[in-house]
Amino acid sequence: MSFQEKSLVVSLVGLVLASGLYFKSAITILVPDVSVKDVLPAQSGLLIAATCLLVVVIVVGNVALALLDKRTEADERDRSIELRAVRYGSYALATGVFFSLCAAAVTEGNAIMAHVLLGSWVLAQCIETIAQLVMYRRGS
Amino acid sequence: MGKRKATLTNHVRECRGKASGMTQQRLADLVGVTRQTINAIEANKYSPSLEVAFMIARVLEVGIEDVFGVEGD
Repeated sequence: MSFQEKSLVVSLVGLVLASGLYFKSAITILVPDVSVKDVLPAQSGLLIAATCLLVVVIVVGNVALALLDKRTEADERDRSIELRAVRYGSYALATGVFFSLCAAAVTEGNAIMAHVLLGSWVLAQCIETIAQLVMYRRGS
Repeated sequence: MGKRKATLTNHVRECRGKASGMTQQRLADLVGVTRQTINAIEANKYSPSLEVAFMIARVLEVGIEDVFGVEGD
């Protein structure tokens, strides 16, 4: 497994961990208390904590990988794979933006819209990372 | 008139063997790509850029047409 693949696994683990913890806590706040209509200030602390966790996992993981692996440079194939994966992720993000606009039109406050948008970004990142891992494994 | 289909083929593995059994890693280091990229080229799963193709031929000390070719109608 190349450095790029290991780095992608670390990013995926960090993203799933941070977003999983955030959405689990956010849903427990939002679902029983329908009076929460805005993200701020109800979930700002959670969001900051999840972002910090994501940054820590990615930075620490990539530093550890770079220390263990001598070859960290990306080449033209890595860039080609990344570009194709970004295109797949962008479809999910564009769909999510559309649904968040729909949510903004039909719901009160910004809580639902913000969570649909955040969820679609997380999904887009997951698709992008998984697509890269699949392409690396297939050797394309 | 239909669209012509062509596939890029290569003899990188054979040329490496002739070049004193150069390893994929050694070739990758000399060309400036990863070992995985050389492996993908040899398996015909990735078509390199012209720059990398010429670099491979130069490092293996053969002509580019001896390493890369096109198959198809």
